[in-house]
Amino acid sequence: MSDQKNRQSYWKANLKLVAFCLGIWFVVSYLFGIILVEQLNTISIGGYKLGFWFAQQGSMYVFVVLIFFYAWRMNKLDRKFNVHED
Amino acid sequence: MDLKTLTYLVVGATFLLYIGIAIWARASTTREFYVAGTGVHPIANGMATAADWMSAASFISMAGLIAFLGYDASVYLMGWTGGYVLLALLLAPYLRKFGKFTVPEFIGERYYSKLARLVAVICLIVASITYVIGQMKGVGVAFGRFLEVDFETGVGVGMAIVFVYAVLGGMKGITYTQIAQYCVLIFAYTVPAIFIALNLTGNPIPQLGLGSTMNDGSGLLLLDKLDLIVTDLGFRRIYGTKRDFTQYVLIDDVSDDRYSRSAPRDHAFLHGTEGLGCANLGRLGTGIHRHPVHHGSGSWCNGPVEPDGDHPVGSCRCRGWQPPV
Repeated sequence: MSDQKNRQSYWKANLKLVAFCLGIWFVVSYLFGIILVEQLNTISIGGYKLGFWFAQQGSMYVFVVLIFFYAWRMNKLDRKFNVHED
Repeated sequence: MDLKTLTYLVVGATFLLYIGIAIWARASTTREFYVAGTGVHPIANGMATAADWMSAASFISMAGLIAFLGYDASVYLMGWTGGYVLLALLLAPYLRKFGKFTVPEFIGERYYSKLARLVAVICLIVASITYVIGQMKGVGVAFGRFLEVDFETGVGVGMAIVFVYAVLGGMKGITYTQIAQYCVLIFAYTVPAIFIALNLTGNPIPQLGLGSTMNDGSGLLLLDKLDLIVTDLGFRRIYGTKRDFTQYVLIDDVSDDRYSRSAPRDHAFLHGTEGLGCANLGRLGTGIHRHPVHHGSGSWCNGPVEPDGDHPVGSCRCRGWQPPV
């Protein structure tokens, strides 16, 4: 029973992490890069208009960070619930 | 040594390297063939995946798309890269934990259905073939150019090389050849980018250079300058689509009073082309002039463009002028 419960809470934590990451994934690409691009383009940072920057560079940086973040958190989660591989 | 020999040497050396890797990494078990014996270091795997990203499609087509479409082509950038997030979060971990080699195997086992497995196989083949068609086009173009052979021969050579290392080495061979490709590609991407950035802005980091000011003394931001150039050439704005395509290149058949409006004319004049050079306009071919022009005349230029001696510097004459629609 406790094993079953353990698995359930592991799965829940996993889903929560995935939802969090995909939320950010959506915000930087669809929201900042496409939907709000005109509004963000009124702000300039350095030589970039912000919306354009998100579409061309910013979202890519966030994507890479997201993958590392997910791997790091997931490894921690695997260890916590003792399902890690190594 | 002339350029051709040098090209053959360099291309031949990379081919040998790839085939050498394939023989060295020869797969001897199913596990090695499909998942490289799961013994590839994460960094190495990352390099191989990155080589996947920097494929012929990125190297040749995406750069061109962004140049042509400006901001609108950002969807390719975000889709290309954002897809990896979906892959890493939603597919890869479960495939690995499930312990099966291929996606159809996973689907078949997970849904207890041979039919589901078959559907997955069909989807995979359709997706792969579509992808390979694009890549092979790129391979044909690249090899055709480097080796100075026809497109078909280029595709043949590329396919033969890939066949050898994929069949011999399996996933292990592919992964290690991709690592070699990664090193070659990242070098080939970065070096020109750094020097172009240095040349244009004095900033050696291309990502920052794109947002810097030009060092030609104009004080313009690089992106604004780029925007100006592409709109001058008749392409879409880098930033978006607010400005009209045709605003800068005017085909002006009205102001030239040497020709009466009723007389048949074989050319029109392009104004506002200062600094571009007629040769550049001509090289762009029909792509740029086909848009209905200003002055409400609606005439099109669809022929070669040449300098016009009678006009101020920068004006060009367009042969093959089409009457207003």
